[in-house]
Amino acid sequence: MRTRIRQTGALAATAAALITLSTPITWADMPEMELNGNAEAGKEIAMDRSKGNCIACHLIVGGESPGAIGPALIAIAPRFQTKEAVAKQVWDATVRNPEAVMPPFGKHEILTEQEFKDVVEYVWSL
Amino acid sequence: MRNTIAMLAVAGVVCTLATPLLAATPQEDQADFQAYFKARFPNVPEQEFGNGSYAIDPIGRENWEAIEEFPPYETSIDNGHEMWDTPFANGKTYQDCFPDGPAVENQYPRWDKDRGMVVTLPLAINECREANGEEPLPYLKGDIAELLAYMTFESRGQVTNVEIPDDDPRALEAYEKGKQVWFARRGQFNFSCASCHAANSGTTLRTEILSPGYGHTTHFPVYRSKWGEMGTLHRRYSGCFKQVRAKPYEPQGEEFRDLEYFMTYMNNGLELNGPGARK
Amino acid sequence: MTIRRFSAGALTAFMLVTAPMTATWAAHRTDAEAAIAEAKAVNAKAAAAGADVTESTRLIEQALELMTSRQFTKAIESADQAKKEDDYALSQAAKGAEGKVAAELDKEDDAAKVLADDAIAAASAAREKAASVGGEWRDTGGLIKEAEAAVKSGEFDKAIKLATKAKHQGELGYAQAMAEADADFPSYMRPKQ
Repeated sequence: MRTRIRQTGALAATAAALITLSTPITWADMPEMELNGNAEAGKEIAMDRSKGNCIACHLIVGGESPGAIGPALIAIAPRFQTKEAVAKQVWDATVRNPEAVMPPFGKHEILTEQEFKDVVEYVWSL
Repeated sequence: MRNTIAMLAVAGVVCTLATPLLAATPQEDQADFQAYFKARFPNVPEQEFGNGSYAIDPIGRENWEAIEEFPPYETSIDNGHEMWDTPFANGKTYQDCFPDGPAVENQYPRWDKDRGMVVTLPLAINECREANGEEPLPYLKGDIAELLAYMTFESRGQVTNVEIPDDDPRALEAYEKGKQVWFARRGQFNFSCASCHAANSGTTLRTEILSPGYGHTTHFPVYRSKWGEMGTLHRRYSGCFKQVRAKPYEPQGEEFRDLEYFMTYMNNGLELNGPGARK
Repeated sequence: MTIRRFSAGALTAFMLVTAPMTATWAAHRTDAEAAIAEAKAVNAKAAAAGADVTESTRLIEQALELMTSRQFTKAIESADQAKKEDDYALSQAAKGAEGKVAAELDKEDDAAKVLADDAIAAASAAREKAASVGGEWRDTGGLIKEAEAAVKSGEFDKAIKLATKAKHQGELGYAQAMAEADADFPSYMRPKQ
């Protein structure tokens, strides 16, 4: 059992390394992904200082001590039209507005891919 | 109608493109910088900008004024005074390096033509120490902050007056480099100093009010409640860099000295009011 | 002088609050002591098997030092890392005794280790490139150190993940610094034309 685990582990490491080392990544574009995150988890990320910390700059109904640097996160669906548009904004807000101060949560890998999907799901629901 | 719109659009694009073709002089930069903040905070009297957030946050100001009744930096001023009076092992004193006495803060930062670099007061202090066989002091906190507290206190009321000599193009280059540091995005969070202290000055990050860039350099070293002690300007630089998840430059290294040169020049005209107390 | 009588209820409530608190505090110290004892045991075995125990011994010493300043959580981290490294070293040494089948597995481990080392080298190069233009991020160096520690404890998959993240940070930091090379007053800070 121990030997098989080590084998799988080594093979997985090899595969993962080969993929990440060889793929040229274009940092500007958001990669293809299914936006099927969990909104509950996303809410935690939005309020967590060490994760999304969206509350630091954005008013979110139900959040404590919100900042007022960015627009309030309400009426998201009519404002953004699609979940993908929200995702692109969270990925890298400077694409839409080069002077935006919002950190590029996706492009700069501030959040993991799962955290990113979760927070997008949450924001889309606001 | 469509033609008019198209013409206006073209004119608009041409105008915005044409403006940066002539590089602004430091004097123009300074005028624009100060005008921007005065317009953004029209009710703040000019000298009040040296009080940072407390010039624009009434509750913060109340707390701050209460603290200033018994300032937390007083012990540091006394300690710094003692340091100033205590001779080095070789018998010389700081007075020998600074013949004008401790009240020399508004002579720094300045351009050193012989060495082609910006000299700040902390740098000058350590160069004085080393010239007299003493160990240099660490630049972020501790003894250097105390000595600076004393010299800064003695310099209160002096007017910020940084010069960029026009007979040495390297001085202008150092100024431009410092300007670039202030306006460049950095770190994982992609913030520049301007992101928080220009465009969003006066707004709140959670419950913290972001201070305007105008007035940033007048009140250092500062007793920061968060630190529980005195700290220097370069210590605050380091903290800000880390907060945006960038690796800080070396304290008193070229980049931070150039940054201090630019920032202080932007504040020309403001009275020195250090050492300060902050949250 | 009046003597206050505490009700049994108040007393119970008081003890229900404070007793667990003290127990929690005490558990931290004993947890750390246990972790260090375990680490020492494995360390001794690894040393006896002829493995290189310089790094793990240093970590155990670090853990002991952290105990004196009551940093129990950090002490546990250091002790656990030391134990991981010695466990791995022991398993490597044991493989030598297991003969030909072990040699095959050894090769796969070696292959994974090479990939991890390569990933770390690439991350270091990316970090230096970012640093050369003043664009290094705060956490990149720390991620590389974590990756190196993961290699020492045989966690090659983890090492590659960390090193890859560090490499991305270096690349992004470099690109960011280059893009910001001409940063200057934004239009909104200039007078309106």
